[in-house]
Amino acid sequence: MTFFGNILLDEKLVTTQQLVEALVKQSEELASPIRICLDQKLVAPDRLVDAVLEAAEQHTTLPEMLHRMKLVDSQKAEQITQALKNQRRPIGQILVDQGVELKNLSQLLVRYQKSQEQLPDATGFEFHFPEVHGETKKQYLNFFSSQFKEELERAINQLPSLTGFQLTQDGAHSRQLEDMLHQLTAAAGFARMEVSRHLCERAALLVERINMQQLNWNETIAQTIGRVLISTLDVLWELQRFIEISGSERDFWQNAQSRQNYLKAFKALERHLPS
Amino acid sequence: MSVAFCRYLIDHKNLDPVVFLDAVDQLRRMTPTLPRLMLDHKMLDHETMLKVFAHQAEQKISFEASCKALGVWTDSLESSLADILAESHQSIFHILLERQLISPQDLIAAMDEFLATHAHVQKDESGEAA
Repeated sequence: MTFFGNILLDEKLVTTQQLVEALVKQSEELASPIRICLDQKLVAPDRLVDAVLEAAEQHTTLPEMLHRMKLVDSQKAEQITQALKNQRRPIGQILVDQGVELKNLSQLLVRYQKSQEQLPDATGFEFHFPEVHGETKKQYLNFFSSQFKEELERAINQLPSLTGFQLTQDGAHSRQLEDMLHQLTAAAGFARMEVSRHLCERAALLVERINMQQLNWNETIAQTIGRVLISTLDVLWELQRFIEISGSERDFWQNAQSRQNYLKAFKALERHLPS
Repeated sequence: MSVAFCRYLIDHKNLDPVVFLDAVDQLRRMTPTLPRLMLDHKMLDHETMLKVFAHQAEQKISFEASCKALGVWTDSLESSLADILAESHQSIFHILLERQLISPQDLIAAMDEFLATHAHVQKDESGEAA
């Protein structure tokens, strides 16, 4: 199995020490299985106490003990374990927060995704919005504010008016693109959310390519890419509305129109990202 | 004793199970994780830690189980961990007192009652066994 951390090590973007520190940090931030059981009303509090005490005595995990005590079936126990896993903060986000500079993070993320690529299936989709706190939560809320969307749209709409020469010479435009890239990479980092992960990474990579003059830039290309990025933002915000309502991406995936919008944006981004 | 005594507090001293679970959760957040302890106390080197994490992720097991499976969990390591935890670990009772879920007097009285009942039970059981 290839882990994202291994790729970072292979690419010499992090040291073993930095990666271990990040993994330790991630282990400290794991969600509470007690909270999950209570919030999702999986087990009556009184029986949950029994399981918690028994698990402590027998040095085993709560999901395992709940299953052993027949308080939940194996599917529910797996559901708790999966919820814990899904709520972990992505390792890339922790490394960035630790100050590790990951210039090519977005590119690496895409390569990593491609290595185990599979589009999410509408059935059996069980990604929940991660529990985020503090600075991460602030970033998340800021990102999905209408003000931020308008700013991003304004920046994207300016793309067609920029010539290749301006892109190279104009520091303000370059900074704007870098800001956009930073925000999209950060947004990809929020992900245990499949939609945002796939789309943000690709959008970030596309912006990076524009900034690095890797695209044959002309007005037509700029207009096309502008449209692709705008429709990507629309899908991201559409997803956010679903998450706000149901707390998960499930409903998004079960909505045929949303799914179609996603696939359309995904394919459009792919078309402009030569491998 | 603490596990049985916790149950006793809930069953006999009207300690709300949800409030108790919240306290347990607080204790969990205050207790350093196993990887944190091992890293901070340099019990395993970084390369080994990484192998343990990778094995844990692959096998979907706990960090402790991964250490055991890879043969890095020794008796001396376990004993060192127990010593460190004993020094730094807060008890659930400390949290119950701190959150004023029970007063010190009531806790002591409950403990006396529990010990008395528990001693009776133990004595009866050993009598029956004899």
